[in-house]
Amino acid sequence: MKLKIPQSLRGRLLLLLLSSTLLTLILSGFLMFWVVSSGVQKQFDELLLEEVHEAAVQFVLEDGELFYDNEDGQLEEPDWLLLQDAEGQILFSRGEFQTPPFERLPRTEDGHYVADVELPGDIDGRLLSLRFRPRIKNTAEAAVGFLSADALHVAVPQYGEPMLITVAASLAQVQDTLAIVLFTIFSGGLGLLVVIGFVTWMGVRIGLLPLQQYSQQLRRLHAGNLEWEDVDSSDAIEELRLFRQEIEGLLNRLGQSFVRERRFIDSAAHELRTPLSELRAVSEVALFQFEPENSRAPLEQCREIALEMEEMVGLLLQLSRCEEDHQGGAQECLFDVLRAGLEHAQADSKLEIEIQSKPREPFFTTPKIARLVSRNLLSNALENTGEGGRITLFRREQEGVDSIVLSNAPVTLRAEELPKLSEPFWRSDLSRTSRQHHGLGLTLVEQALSNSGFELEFRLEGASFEVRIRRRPVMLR
Amino acid sequence: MRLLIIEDSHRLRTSLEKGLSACGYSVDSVGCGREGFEMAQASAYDLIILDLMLPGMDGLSLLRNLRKRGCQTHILILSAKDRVEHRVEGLQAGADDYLVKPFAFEELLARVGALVRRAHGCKSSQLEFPNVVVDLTRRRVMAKNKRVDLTPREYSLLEYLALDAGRPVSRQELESHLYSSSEVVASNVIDSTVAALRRKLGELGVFNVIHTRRGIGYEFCSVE
Repeated sequence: MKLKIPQSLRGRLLLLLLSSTLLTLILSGFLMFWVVSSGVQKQFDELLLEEVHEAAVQFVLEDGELFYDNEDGQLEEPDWLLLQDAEGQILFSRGEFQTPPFERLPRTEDGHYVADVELPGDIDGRLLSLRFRPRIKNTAEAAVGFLSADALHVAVPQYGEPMLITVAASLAQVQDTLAIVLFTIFSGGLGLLVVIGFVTWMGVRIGLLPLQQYSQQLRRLHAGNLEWEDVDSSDAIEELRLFRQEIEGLLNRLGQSFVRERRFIDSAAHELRTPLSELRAVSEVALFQFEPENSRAPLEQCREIALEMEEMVGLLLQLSRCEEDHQGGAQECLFDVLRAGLEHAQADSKLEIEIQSKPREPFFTTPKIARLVSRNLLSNALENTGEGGRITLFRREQEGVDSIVLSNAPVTLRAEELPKLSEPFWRSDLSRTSRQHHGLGLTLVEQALSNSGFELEFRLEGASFEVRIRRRPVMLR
Repeated sequence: MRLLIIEDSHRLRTSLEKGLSACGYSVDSVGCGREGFEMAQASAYDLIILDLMLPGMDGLSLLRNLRKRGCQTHILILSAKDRVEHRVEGLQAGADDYLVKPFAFEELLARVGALVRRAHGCKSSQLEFPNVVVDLTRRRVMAKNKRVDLTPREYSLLEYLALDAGRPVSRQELESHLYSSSEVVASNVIDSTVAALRRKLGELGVFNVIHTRRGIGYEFCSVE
């Protein structure tokens, strides 16, 4: 069965935190159990040792004979007891059990032998053996009960020959205790897991709340209304702040783009309204007072209006398709195309036209764009230059950047009109009485040059109007 | 009725002039705001049809200046600006009506008629008198339930007098409201038109409708 990774950040965080918590709890539980069981085991061995001591004390040698003296039953007698001499002969036993060969048993630091053993009745048990010298009766010293392995080799007259005493005890109680401990650890861990899980879930929920609130605010925005007043940007957490800055920057640019788009559509519709109203008025008046013999004039007017609208729509399409026209294909030098246009105009124009040296840097673009730029810029220059004026085409270098400059003088343009020159449909004559211009020429030029990697700038230098074209600087991140 | 059209689009201006003239209105038209302002002050018009985007002086400025100088002539704005704020601005500046381009000529005609009636304090599209009914919408006159066959000029004169029934109207006033500035008006054209009206009404047995007020002009009598 394949584990399905949650797709949400909350789900993944919860999975990660709960997994690590579970792992921690499991390891902690094992560690705890190991510590507890080691402690219990140790305590059991100590108790067993005590039992062995008590049992060893009960053996007494008298006149060469071994007696088991329980001090009137006051000492507890082990259920399983084995006494052997140095040769391994069994001298005394209580309860039957098998002892493993002692040489194979591990020895503790104190010289004891300990081992797990199976007691009769399939009872798990543990035995402890030690070597000792039983006390001899009527000696002056009290019996210790055992001696260390090294001491066994020391001849101590008041103690008899070394013997081996083994006591075994059932591990049932220990096992029960460990089972209770295990159960406690498990249930406690489970309960802890639930509590930690709840706390983690709440923590993740609260922690992700700013992100959730932010995403809800973003969801309320729609394309037509990218208003940021509804979005609360206060108390943004550090990690979210950077994210918000980028999103807000992007949405601001998008909002501006939408505003421009709406404004353009609004302007285009407004521009088309005028010829439409003319068309309607001419045709309706003609129909209102229909005179077949006088129908030619209104029909011709309708045709003229239709042609003007066709031209405007053509320009609008050209503007919308500008994006596609700058890629691939043959390239022409923009300066050369402008120069050719001016040379052609020089023959018919009464203006003074001067063409100076071309820029060092090549201003290459597609022939279509070069012709569009040349046509619009030159027609503007020729129409808007006062009588006896001058048009100059030259290069200018400024701060190491080459630019093409088309200058014409004198002009009647005002400085405050410069920013509007490339606005769609803007004309200096707001009444739009001129039927020859739709106010889209410079918009098209700017768009076309921008797509080719150039910038357009308008300047007024005294009575001269300058159009500057230069390559757009590359922004390094 | 005399109208002034201030509209910079030559085609629209001439079409409207032609259409409204065919409906019996006397129409003057100009394409420049400054010229329109001067004409509006110089002559008495029953209605001014005003475009907003004008060379020389824009429509709203022209309107405000006219109102500031006490001009009471009804003004209908004709504009491609269709937003609510534009319409509100135009009406608050002093316009009496606002029609968005493109428009139906028929609608313009209806609004012009309504504003002209309003200028004369008349709300109904029919002026009913004993034996005479003047239908302002259809531009026809019924005398004793029979239609009176009138020329456009005759109708216009009768209409003008009937809208101000009971008030004597001078010949100069009649000339200024019934003829455009481009028309050459003969000295007795009003008198001859009145004579023709009296004759045509008399043929249908309706007399004493138009009274002569010596030294003043003519008056439409609303009582028998």
